[in-house]
Amino acid sequence: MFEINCHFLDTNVILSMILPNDNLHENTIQYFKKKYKRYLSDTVINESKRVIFKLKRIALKIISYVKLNILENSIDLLNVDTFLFRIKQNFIAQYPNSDFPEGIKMKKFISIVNQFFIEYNDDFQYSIISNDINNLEELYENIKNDYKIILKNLMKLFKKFICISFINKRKFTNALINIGIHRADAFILEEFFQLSESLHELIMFITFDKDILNLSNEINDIFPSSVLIGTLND
Amino acid sequence: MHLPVENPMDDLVEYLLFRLKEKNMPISKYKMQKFIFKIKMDLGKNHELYDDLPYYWYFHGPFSEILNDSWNYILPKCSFNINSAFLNDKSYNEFDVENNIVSSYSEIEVFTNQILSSESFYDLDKVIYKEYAPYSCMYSFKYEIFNKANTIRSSNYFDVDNYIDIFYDCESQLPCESYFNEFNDLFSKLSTNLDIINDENNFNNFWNFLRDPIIELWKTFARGLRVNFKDDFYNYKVNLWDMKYKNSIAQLEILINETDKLINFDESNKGYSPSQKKLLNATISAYLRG
Repeated sequence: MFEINCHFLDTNVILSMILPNDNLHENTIQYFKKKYKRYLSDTVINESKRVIFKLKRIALKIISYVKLNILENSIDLLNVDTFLFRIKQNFIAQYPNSDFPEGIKMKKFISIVNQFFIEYNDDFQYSIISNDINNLEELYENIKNDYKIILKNLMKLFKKFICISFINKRKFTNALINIGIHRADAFILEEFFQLSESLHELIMFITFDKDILNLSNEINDIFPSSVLIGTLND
Repeated sequence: MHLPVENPMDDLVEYLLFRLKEKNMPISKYKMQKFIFKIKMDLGKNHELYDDLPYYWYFHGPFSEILNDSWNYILPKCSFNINSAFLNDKSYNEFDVENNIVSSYSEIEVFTNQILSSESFYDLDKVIYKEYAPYSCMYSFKYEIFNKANTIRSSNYFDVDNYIDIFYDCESQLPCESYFNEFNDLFSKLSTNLDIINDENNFNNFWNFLRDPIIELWKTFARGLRVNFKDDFYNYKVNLWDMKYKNSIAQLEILINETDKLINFDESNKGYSPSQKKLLNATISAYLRG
């Protein structure tokens, strides 16, 4: 799969590893089976946890918002789909003038909200039609509990890799941000560069991040020596 | 047409102390803050005096530095009972309502009467949180989450499961403004950590360690709140307040990260149930694909 055996994992690769196999691309499953030497950093660990907490909060906020709307509105049962669509649009509209609602890119945030409404459409429809929010209360409780399990699985996963702590020199962070790399990703890329400079073997940065992949030439122009960036879905 | 009043806040404080003396009611500086805020809200945004009574939201709700100054100015006219002030007899007898702001704005007297005759006067701070707090989560955040951490030394004295439920309920109503993104992430981390610590039956053992991050959680939120919810009078302070909020976020992160050490993260992975798979697909998969 990769000729280079030494890898530095981005946050999104770590997060994909806590998903069940039937949720993953075949290339990703094969990648995880191979015995590469895998590195990550404290920043990757913290960012991965931060994403988990954000997603938990978005899920809890959506359920609460739907519950409140069911309780406060009289609903035309012939137009449940329209009602749900409006709830979803109004939920997103609560985040005005923000490029990063809950710290996530707006486009990505909207796709998460859309997917959530698709996955839980039956639960929402049932609550509206039966005028009973007990199932949503139960769903809310489940989400709280499920995220504890997800967090624990993530924490266990970190132990499988070589974790490096970096002293933040951040010489190239601003330049990376200026070409369109998100701030947290810029920190991680800079740490990867520092590690690649200190190792005596080649190391590749593994990511699913489209911005990083699309900007790999520009990223290489910023760092004084070239870095290798790869993905799993090629 | 009203004649301009030189210092409306001084006048208002003295008038209210006079009215309270009539009713034999001393008042604390803290409560006076709420009393005048309520009058300001009742007067409404279009009232001439609205901007002369400048407030911002902070640790204990709406706070006015101008009122603080007025309170200090009027102290020599008062006698004290612990933290509460009472207009002294001489000042009470010399008080002339005709020379006070109320003579120009009779609506102040009407609102004062309404507030003083209301049963909720004794819980004015709570009423203000319920009616005027910028975010719906603030009442339970302040009165349930913060106050318990700030005052109760043993978690045996309250229902911990309920406490954690309140934490999650607040989380689901946290601000949507991006200014609070980092704060929200820390809040979300602490709620899950507290829940896991409780699952591991360690909440009581660690309560005194957990109190600090919870107290700082509220204080950090309040520091962010005053940047966003203040009258224009305080605009000149925003840069300093913003810096203090960001420093507070950094300190809070250290405190909350310490709570990781109280958790056993070695528990074995039992695999995901269908409902957990659904949640992963709705959130993490969507995040990765988006």
